[in-house]
Amino acid sequence: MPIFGRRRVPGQPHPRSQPIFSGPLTGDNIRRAFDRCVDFTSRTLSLAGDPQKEVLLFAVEGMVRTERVNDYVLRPLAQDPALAALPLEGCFRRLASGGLYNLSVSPVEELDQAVFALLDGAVVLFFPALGRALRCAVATEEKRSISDPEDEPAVKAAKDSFVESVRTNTSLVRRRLRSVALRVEEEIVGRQSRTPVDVLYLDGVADPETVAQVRLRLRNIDVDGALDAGHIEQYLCDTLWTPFPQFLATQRPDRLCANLLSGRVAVLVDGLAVGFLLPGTVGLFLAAQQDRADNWMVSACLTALRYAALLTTLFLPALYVAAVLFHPEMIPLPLARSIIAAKADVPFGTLFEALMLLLAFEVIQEAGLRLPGNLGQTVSILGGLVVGSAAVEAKIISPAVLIVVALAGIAGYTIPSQDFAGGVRLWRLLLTLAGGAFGLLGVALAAVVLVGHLAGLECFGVAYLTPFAANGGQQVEGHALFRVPIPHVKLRPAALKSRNRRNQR
Amino acid sequence: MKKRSVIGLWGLALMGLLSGCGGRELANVTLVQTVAVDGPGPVTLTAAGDGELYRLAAEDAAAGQEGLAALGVRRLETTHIQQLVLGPDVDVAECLWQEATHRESGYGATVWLRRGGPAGDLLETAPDLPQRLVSLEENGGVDAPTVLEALSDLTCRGRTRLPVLAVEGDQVLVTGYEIVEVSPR
Repeated sequence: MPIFGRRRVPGQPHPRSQPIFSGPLTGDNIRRAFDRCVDFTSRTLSLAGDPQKEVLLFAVEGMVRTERVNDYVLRPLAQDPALAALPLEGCFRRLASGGLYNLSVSPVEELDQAVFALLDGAVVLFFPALGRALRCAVATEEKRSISDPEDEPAVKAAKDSFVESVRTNTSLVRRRLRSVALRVEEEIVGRQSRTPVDVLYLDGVADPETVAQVRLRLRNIDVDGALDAGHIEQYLCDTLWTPFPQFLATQRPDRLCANLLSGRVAVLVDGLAVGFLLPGTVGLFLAAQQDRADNWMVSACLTALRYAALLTTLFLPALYVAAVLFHPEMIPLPLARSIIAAKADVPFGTLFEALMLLLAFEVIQEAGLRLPGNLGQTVSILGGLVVGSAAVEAKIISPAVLIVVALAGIAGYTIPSQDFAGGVRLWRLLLTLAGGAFGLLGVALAAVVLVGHLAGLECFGVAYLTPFAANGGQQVEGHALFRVPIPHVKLRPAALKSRNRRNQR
Repeated sequence: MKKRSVIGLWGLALMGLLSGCGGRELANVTLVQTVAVDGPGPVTLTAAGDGELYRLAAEDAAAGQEGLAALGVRRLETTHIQQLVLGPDVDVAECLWQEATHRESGYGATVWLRRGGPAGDLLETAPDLPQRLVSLEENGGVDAPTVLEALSDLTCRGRTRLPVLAVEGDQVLVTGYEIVEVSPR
């Protein structure tokens, strides 16, 4: 069996019948669609108490809010005196045009529409004598309340974060960008999950080509369910063959809005408490929301520090292994002597030690993430401090390697995007291997391969290395390491191909 | 695919050759700090590092690390030589040139002279000579030129000034400076 699973067998094409529920719109067909669904409920009603005017009410319990059904649907059906005087066709028209106290009431003509309306949390009123139905939106709005963005904390910034409801999330964006130019388009993704996926952009600011591409790629997604971030990210991205993320996932509505203003496009998925920003670039992944809030000089220094930390986490273990194994002349004598003394009774080679510690670091981090809060911290303390110091005392590992790996690990935590940090960690392992196998030559060559890989990446036609590289035929523009005061940044980034680059007077 | 694999394997082999075919663990080497040179005739090198002393005939050293291993000597790392002590009859200019052009040891070591006995004996008398010489430089005000400085003086001016070491009891002293001259080539 191959490493990556069984050999792929050519199978049948994914069948997609349209409409999914065929047949005429009848009460029996609706019931048949929800056969063996215990949460499906139906009720026969008489309009204004007249048994000649029979109506069937269908709903999926738990998806509708009972009080609303009672007050806004059932009460008018039973108590509206006008319904008694009107013929059935007139009753239908009256209910569709205001007889029901609902924000959204619309006629339904097909079985498919009725079934999916019920699944969306609507109540369907079916008129058997007319063969038509009304859809009333009474969906429940039970959801987690808006809380702090725990993964992206900031001091001088908003304290709200996205929740799992896409409509709440779009409202969070709307409250910040009260502009009619803010467009919110929706696609339904997933045959079984039918997940609403919203595309947000500022009309006249975002690149229309990017928006069209996002729309097209979303429409082309043909999967059973879109329940995780990967279901959207991996179908929207340009290439799958990279460990680096191509979209920035953020919990912060303010960050999403700031990037919409820059000309980016956002994607919000129902059920995910994050928004995706695209196109993703290196500069975006290494920027934090706090940067805009801080003094620009402080922010410039912190940004430079973050880039230095990125280089440290990538290259420190590789350079250490290469220097110790291949180029001891690079190490000052006192340091060389202390390394030799520390490694005196350690049974393992330097490369093996470094690789094992890097993997152990990942294992401890993974264990800490998977466990609930306090338990996760305990595992980190046990793994990092107790086991680490015991291993050094027992001469299983040398303290120098432990320090190098720990420094590299801590430097990695300064990268604001955890997705980007994941890609960096993978490359750190490869660079260390190259350093252990071929010394500085190997590190240099692996670094060249890494830069080549990053330079080859594009996200919706935007160079991934922006702002260090530019799209074809363009000049590199803007500030990367050193920020300038916000009043001086009068143009949106050229790489985003915004239709309107000027952002202030 | 096959072509790429072949190119990849050749690339790896080339990298292995270029990088010296594998690294060496620092834990398995002795960092030589001081080298005493005696000669001519059979040139003898005495190397001190990590508290150990190694006396080698020049032809053994010339045989490389394999030759040293055959003598039962740990791998000697000559990348951190700090002091070079030259015996009475050594050709100073030639020795400095050899040291400066050696691809590992380089030209950062300070140069000292030993008169009135072999330079190697000095290391045997005072096993902690590397530390003592550092102390003489830092605290005793002794001005010992580096290999590069001495070579530069010899090349440009035809002479250089080197400190002379002597032993009194268990003390290592600098008795003065000697002007070493070379005839212009």
